[in-house]
Amino acid sequence: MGLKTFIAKRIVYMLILLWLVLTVNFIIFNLMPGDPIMQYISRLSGKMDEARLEQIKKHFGLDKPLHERYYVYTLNLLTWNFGDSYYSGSITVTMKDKLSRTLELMGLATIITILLGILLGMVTAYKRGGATDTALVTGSLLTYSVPIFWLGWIVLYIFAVQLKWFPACGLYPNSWAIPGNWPTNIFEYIFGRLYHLFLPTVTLILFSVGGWILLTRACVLENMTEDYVVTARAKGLTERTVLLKHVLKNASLPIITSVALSFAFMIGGAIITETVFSYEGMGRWTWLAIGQTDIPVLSAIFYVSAIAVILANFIADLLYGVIDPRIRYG
Amino acid sequence: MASREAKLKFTLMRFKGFWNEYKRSKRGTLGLCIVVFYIALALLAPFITHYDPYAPTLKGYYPAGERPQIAERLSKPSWYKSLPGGDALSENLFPVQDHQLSTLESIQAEWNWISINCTAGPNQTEGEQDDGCIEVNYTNPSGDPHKTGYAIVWHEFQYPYKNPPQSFIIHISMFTTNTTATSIKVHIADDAGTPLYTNLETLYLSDNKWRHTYIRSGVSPRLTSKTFPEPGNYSLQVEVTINGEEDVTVRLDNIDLLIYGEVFGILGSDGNLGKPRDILSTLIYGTRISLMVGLLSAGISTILGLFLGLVAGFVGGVTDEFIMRFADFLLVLPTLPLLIVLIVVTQASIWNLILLLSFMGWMSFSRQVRSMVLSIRERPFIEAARAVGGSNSYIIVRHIIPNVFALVYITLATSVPGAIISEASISWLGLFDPTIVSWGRMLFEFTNSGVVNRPFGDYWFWMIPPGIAIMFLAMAFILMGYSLDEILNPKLRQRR
Repeated sequence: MGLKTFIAKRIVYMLILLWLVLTVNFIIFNLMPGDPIMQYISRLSGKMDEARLEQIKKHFGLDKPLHERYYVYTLNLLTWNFGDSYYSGSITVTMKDKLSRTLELMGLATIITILLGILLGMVTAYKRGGATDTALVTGSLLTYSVPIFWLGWIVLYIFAVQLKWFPACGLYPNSWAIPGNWPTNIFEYIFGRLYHLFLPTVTLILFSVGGWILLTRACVLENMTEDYVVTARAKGLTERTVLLKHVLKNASLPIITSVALSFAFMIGGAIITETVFSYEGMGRWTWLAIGQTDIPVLSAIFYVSAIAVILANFIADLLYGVIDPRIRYG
Repeated sequence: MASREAKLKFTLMRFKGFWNEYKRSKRGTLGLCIVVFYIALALLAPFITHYDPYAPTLKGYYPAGERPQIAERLSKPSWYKSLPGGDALSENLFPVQDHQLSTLESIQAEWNWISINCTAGPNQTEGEQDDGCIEVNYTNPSGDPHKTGYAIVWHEFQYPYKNPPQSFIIHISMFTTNTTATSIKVHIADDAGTPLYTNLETLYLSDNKWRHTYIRSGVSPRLTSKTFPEPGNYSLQVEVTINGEEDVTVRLDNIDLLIYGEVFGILGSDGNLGKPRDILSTLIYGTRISLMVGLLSAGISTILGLFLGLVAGFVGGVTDEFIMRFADFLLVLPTLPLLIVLIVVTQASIWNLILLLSFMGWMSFSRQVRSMVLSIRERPFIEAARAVGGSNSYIIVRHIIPNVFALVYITLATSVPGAIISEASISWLGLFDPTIVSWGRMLFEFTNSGVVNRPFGDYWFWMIPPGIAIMFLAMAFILMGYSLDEILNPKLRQRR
């Protein structure tokens, strides 16, 4: 089967998946207790102008029967028309804001984590059995087993409360909020943002780097016993060359899936880390929306996150073929 | 066919071989030891803890009234006393406990009284629980309207600590035949009898009825240091004043003085307002929750994954497609938000959480099983089994499951930590089962108590232990999973 057929098949399959996501989300969110608009309406019916209530219901599409609502909901999401939040106006506008913040935080953290994790994973595999290996693996296991909100609190406590080196929360220095004080110098801007991003980023890196180290180490070691490694060594290549040129390339397949997925999971943000550091990104927005039963917001977030993961899986599958010519699409 | 005995012997031998190999893995043994330790804690929780985290009150106090707390909030661990400079710290002290001692002998041994214009003394039968009490009788046969009777009842005790306590509570049950003529005051007095503390609020009485009163000092260093300025002898005094023309009987019972010190228990007390918990007991009880959630949801999700993977791989076709697409769908959604939404939909209860965690945890394992089944299905020995007339179920149970079972153990061990951490995270977000106290809930209560503005020394014993407990339990299972992986996947053994 050629590449074209493969892509066509995958697209059909992705659409089916998307439809499943849309439908199940619709069901789950309609089961969520305490729809605030319906509560608001039932509380005020009789006390407020009925026409006004009808208008509110109509605005959120709640006046139609369930099957029509499902149809409208599917159509709206497919056409990227998210509508209004129950509380804070247009979802698209808010999402742009939150998504950019989350991408700054998660992007920074994910890139550093992956690079650091693969590097350290290679080191532990290279020095397997030694003290460095033991120390790194133990450290990875510990950070991998720790609950992230607890780790976040400790980081927050040490660096923000005790040492006061970094701010505990916020997106940028408070002084910028004064009109006319917004930095014009790009370096000053980047520095100010990074200063505020530091603690959540460190927490995320500490939390997830262990998993990457362990994954890389396992993938590399799995290949170490293969015959081609023996051949490469027999050729007189240095251990370093064997590792970097031969083993890493073969070990990279599972790593690539994980890389693609972790970039996709960036979109959803980090609910817990963002909550610990009061960072107003996608994760915190999700958490607040759950608290307020803001169904349109939740639908939009779940939809966008799911699309990101679906696409990432697709890209990873395509990349497999590029890296490993043995893989045929099918 | 081999006899049952021979089979059993074979199984035993295999297990012995496995065990010998497992013992050689240092990491695996460490993990197993930690897990066994936690299981022991969980099973023995009621026997090794002194306090019940679900009812953090003193045992045996006043069936009729509200039970007092076990300690003041954020008491430091007791071993602070053996640190340099720690001798001065005060401990919990319950010097006056009349609620247990209501016999004539105990009253006479522990209580003193003086009276002017009235009589005071023990009464053996009229107490609140029909036991003993102290009775003050005031008679005014001449009908003199300006006559006043005083009685002071006191109990002496020793306060041995240099530092003042955090707070104290005085409890008293009172009975009077005439409310308007009677007033009662409570003092804590020094060796010479000079009051250092007198309750400011009025003690309300009811006519011919017992009434309980708690007098609470609150956490006020100014007040407690004035009341207990130095180690020495003190006394708790109850002063009864009666005036008027009528005869009055006053009874006093269940007089207690509970002094809450600065240190308590092995890990101190937490910062919950009202009823602080003993942190060590809460931690030990939390082991039960984490182990239960971890083991049950890992078990259910592994069984689910095994079953669905077998079906998908063996049956193939539409069934396979359906199961795998559903797995993909679950993998595509953001895990934690979905879990939170589902918990909100189904109500936060520990069983719902276990089921949801199992429901969200089977996908990658069933993929693994499916791909293994796909490869095993084509091997010659399956063909042979089929040729001799083996049914599908026979082939699955006798030939396929044994081949994928090594994976089951590994997955069981490695999916426990995820469940434990998810439970903690969800509880930390506030979606805990209100009927249980888990480690995640402890951290939720910590985060929402606002104590973080205080110095770290005031609360570290509340914040650090639950995190450490989660970390070690999760790590122990990961270590076990690693060793199992090494033993059961012989190919990986050459690595070392």
